[in-house]
Amino acid sequence: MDIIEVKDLVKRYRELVAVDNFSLAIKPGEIFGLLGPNGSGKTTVINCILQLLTYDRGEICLFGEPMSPSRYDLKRRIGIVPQNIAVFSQLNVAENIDYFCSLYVDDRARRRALVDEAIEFVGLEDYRRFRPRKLSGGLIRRLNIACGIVHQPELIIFDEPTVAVDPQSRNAILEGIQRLNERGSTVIYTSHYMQEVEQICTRIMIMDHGQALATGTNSELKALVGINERMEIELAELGEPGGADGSGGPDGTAGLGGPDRAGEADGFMRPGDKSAAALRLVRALPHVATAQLEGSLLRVTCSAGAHNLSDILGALQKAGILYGRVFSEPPTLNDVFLEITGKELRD
Amino acid sequence: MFTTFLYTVKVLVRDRNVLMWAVAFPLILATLFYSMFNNLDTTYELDPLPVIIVQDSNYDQAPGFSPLINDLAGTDSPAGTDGTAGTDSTAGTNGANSGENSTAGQALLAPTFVADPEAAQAALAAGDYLGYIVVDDQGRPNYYMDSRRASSIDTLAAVKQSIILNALDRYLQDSQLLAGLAQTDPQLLSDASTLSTLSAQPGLVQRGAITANPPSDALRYFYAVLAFSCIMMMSFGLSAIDFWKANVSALGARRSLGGRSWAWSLAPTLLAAWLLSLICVIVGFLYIRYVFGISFGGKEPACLAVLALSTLVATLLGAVLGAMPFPGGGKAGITAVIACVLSVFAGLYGPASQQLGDYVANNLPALSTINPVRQIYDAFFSLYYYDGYERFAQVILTLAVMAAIFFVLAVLLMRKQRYKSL
Ligand SMILES: Nc1ncnc2c1ncn2[C@@H]1O[C@H](COP(=O)(O)OP(=O)(O)O)[C@@H](O)[C@H]1O
Ligand SMILES: [Mg+2]
Repeated sequence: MDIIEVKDLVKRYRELVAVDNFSLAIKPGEIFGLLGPNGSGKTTVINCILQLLTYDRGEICLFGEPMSPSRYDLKRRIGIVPQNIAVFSQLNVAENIDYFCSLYVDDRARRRALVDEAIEFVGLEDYRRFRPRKLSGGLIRRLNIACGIVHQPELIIFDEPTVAVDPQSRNAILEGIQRLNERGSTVIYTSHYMQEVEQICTRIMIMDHGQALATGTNSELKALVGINERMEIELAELGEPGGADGSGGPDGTAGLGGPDRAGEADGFMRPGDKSAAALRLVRALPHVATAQLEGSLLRVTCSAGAHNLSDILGALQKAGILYGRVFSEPPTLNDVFLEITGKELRD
Repeated sequence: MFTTFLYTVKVLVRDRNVLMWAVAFPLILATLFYSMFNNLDTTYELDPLPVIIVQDSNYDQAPGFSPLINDLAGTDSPAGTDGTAGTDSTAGTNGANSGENSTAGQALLAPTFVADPEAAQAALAAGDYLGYIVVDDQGRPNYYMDSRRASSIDTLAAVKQSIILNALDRYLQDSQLLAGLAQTDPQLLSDASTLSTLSAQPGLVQRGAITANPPSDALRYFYAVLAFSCIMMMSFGLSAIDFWKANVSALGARRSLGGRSWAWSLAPTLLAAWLLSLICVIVGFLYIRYVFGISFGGKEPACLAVLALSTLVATLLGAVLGAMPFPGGGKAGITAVIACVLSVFAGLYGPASQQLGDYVANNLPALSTINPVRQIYDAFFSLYYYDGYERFAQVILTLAVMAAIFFVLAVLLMRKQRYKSL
């Protein structure tokens, strides 16, 4: 049985199609990532699932049963951490959490235990009696989370919980979500930060313009684009391939070439020729998919192969090209997004 | 449910803006009016009227006359001098009636007693008296005005003279009635209850004469302030719905995702807003009633009922406004504007607004009927001015209908849980 099943959901705001034939199935125990740029329809999907928004078409089942606004029995099994902070500025930390807990749990003693646990979970023990306005942004986010998870629901939905959060709090939040998952909750996590999604999600859906573009595990998605590795190599003493103006290269590599610089620039080989040669060499290597030169930066992507980087560096050395820093990384979800949409998904 | 109630109370009480509007503002307004009317009252207050009274054998024999004079003079009727059963109970009734109006101890007359009419004329010529009263041999009091004052165009003096004439007229009518009764039905006269009923009459006259205009003006203001503060309690209903309703705030959206039906959480939310409103207006009421000593016709329990019903109307109206889908920020201002405009017709802003309100009430009664502020004001007004409860019941019924309408509207607006957009 799926925890959530959405079929062919369509939601329009007047002319704007915010969610476009969207389908989704989430299994128990997953941390399901919904990744998409701002405005791609993540929040709208969530609000349709939760029956806050009307929708034009589609079926939504939760825990195997059709969802409707008055299915309070189903709502009781869900926790929601909304994108916008939603806590009472007039109530302190403990009161806020208790209020939201009371929307699910009647028994006072049990509630007290749950509230304590939630406070401990998000690490707000020292701030129990603080009103939100006395808390920093990161701490308010944590309170916002505590209010959503206090009743220990089976399904927890986090809508961009780390927006405008300092790196330290962000890591604490991500770890917390993993702990909740280990404790038995299924998690939906929406974000436009690909690293976060990659870091914690067991399955990821990439969406844009209200459409589900691709779904799968991190490695499944990356297999989609056929990239295994991407490299960036800073070259010294190069100009644009065939470029008339040789100053572009030296500017970009300032400080790398050192005292050799003047001599090289005056050498018999023009910088443009040198770079063209380098590109040719690299492109000729067996696993190189693409190679581009941006200023003095050589970008290379490779499809497969065990020692691509050493092959490339060897080729450069053979051509007598000096290089500075070298980056090598496995493909990112940005590459996937780029591959599918033709545009960058930037943090 | 109780938890929701409790937290709603906490949230509302800790909202300084709401508290400011709901509690402080009406109290400040009432205090302002009070200091204003305190001046007014002293200007208009009638000093006891200096009159000469010829205290001869006719005076002593006129039944009930000397107690009347004593009463008007604010001195206790000397026991035994002329104490028929009837006049004694007159004094008693007066005390009960006028105590409410703070007229106890307020004297209408400052009598100077002389032995005969000649002495009275001499004293009138010499001193600063309005006139003298002499009882003729048929027991009828006659009032001789100082001719200089009689022709005076000073309205205050004219009012004073007419007050005395009025009191004497009333005495004459009653004593003739009694005399007539004695001839036609002597049996009735021996019945103590008939006597006390009859003799209660002069009491009413005195009360009317003494407290007539200036205090009633002040009452209008205080009733209007109270009506205004009742309707201002919209702000509690409004704020409560502000964090309750999904399309109004993120908090409301979050609340509506909880595992409780809308009615389950709406009931304690509105109840909290209502009870807080009620407490606030009761504070205002007690302040006006006991700190400023403003009369509510001795019908305080009925006043509490008015307060309870009108705050219910206000809370529900505020809830309806709060549920309306217009941008949230300006709503508090809008409630204040609504309350202020409606209060024009309850006469909150002085004579012009009172006249306008009365004009509308008389000529466009439908408009007054749908104006809750005017209705609340009318409720207090009718409690004070009418002995019966018919007019009051009518107002209460109107307010109850309003509450019912707003309740239905509120429920219709609140049961909606899904929105086209948030
Ligand atoms: N209330 C609304 N009225 C009109 N358009 C809206 C409304 N809410 C969101 N949208 C539009 O719907 C699209 C999806 O928005 P949203 O679901 O908030 O995206 P995300 O959560 O992925 O950032 C956006 O283009 C946004 O402008
Ligand atoms: Mg969003």
